Amino acid sequence: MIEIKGLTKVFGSTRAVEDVTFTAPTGAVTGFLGPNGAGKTSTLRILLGLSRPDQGVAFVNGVTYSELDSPRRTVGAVLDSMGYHPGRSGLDHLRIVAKAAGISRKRINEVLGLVDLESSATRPVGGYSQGMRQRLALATALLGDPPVLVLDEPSNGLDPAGMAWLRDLISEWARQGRTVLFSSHILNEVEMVADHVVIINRGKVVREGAMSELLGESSTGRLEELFFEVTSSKAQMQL
Amino acid sequence: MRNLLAAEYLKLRTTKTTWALLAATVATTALAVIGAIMVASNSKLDLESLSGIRTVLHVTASGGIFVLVLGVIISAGEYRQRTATDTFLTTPQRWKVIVSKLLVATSSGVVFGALAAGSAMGVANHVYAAKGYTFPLGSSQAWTILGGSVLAAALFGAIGAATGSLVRNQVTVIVGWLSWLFVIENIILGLSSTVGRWLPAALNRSLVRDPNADLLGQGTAGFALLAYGVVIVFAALLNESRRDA
Repeated sequence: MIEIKGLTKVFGSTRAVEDVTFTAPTGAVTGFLGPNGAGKTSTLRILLGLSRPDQGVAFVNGVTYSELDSPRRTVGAVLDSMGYHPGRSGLDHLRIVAKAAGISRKRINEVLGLVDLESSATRPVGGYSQGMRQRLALATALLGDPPVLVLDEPSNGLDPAGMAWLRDLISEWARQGRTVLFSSHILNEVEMVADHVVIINRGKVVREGAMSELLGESSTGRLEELFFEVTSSKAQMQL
Repeated sequence: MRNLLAAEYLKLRTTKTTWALLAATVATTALAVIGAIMVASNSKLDLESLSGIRTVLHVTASGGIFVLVLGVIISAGEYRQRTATDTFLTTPQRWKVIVSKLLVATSSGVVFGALAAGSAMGVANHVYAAKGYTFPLGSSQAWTILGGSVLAAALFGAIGAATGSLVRNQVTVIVGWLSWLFVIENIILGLSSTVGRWLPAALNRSLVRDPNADLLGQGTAGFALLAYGVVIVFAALLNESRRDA
């Protein structure tokens, strides 16, 4: 389970995240939505110990990320800020992460098969397409077979077949009793897979709840409608 | 920590830059030794004398700059290639990452330095023989200088990694060090040798017993260079505890 409690992060004069509180339950897919600059990535970076909050705490299975005994075996993460050495092969990238985390070589082959990158694994990442890089990021996240997945825009660069594969993976992951928290701008995608939704706007949580409940609030029964209603400037004025 | 060190060594082995820097270190040293023998020979210096050995072998540290660059890349390269996120996701305790990079850079410096020293010995032995001299392989002076060059390479690697962790911007750190070592230090040394001989490039030359300058003893120079590394590492650790990845 992921618990975010009263998180606030200030960059200079900008409050990127303000008193953000929500829970991503175990065995469910939580869609984390918001317009660009709403504070999604800042929240996820704090959750993953990459950024320090000014106030509040973020827990993964009851402890902060830096307190986890085996972070890679507990949380798999895909973030936009991840990069690769262009001269290094995808296989070597995975070998490095696996070596640091004490994960076996056998698991590397498994995740390469899972993301369909086996034939390109020994090529330098510099020659990969955006979609292949995203598959490598997903392979890296899955390396430790973690019970918690944190994915920031995981479908970026994936083709329609890749997106369908990712939706199946996310749903299957939750069915296995794991926790999935993922952000996306593709609202149809979120509507298809998420059980729980958190919408953030200008650093504040503006709606949180079960997908079925939230869709009931929308006049058209669509997530897109609700999203625009709660993130519009008019809605902001009412807050 | 063992897994982390193994991963850091694997990072080094899987980029061409490491091998290019190693080749540059060894080649620069070999060429510098050949040049030093030519100069010493032309100035009628007895190549087999203690002064001749110092003149020929003190250039063994010429490749030190490449080790320093390697150290910088080991740390700051993670930010340039945006691989730092993955590194910190695997090891959220950032001090462990900084320390492991320091150890990897220092030990790589030992390897680079030893290979450069080996090539210096090999080249010197060969060129001496071609000129009808015998290179004094049993000379303690020669081994002291070569040992100093290996120590200098190790400390330069450590200082490079420490500075890379502190500043994070690879280009800024490398340009900064090149400017400092080749321009600013020479100006300071020209203004005051008392101050100048305590600076990194002069300490490097002290470690290889450069006969052309009034420098510090090897032991003092080694400790002074180590002190630079320790101060920069502590600054990096302190800074890292306060900032975002």
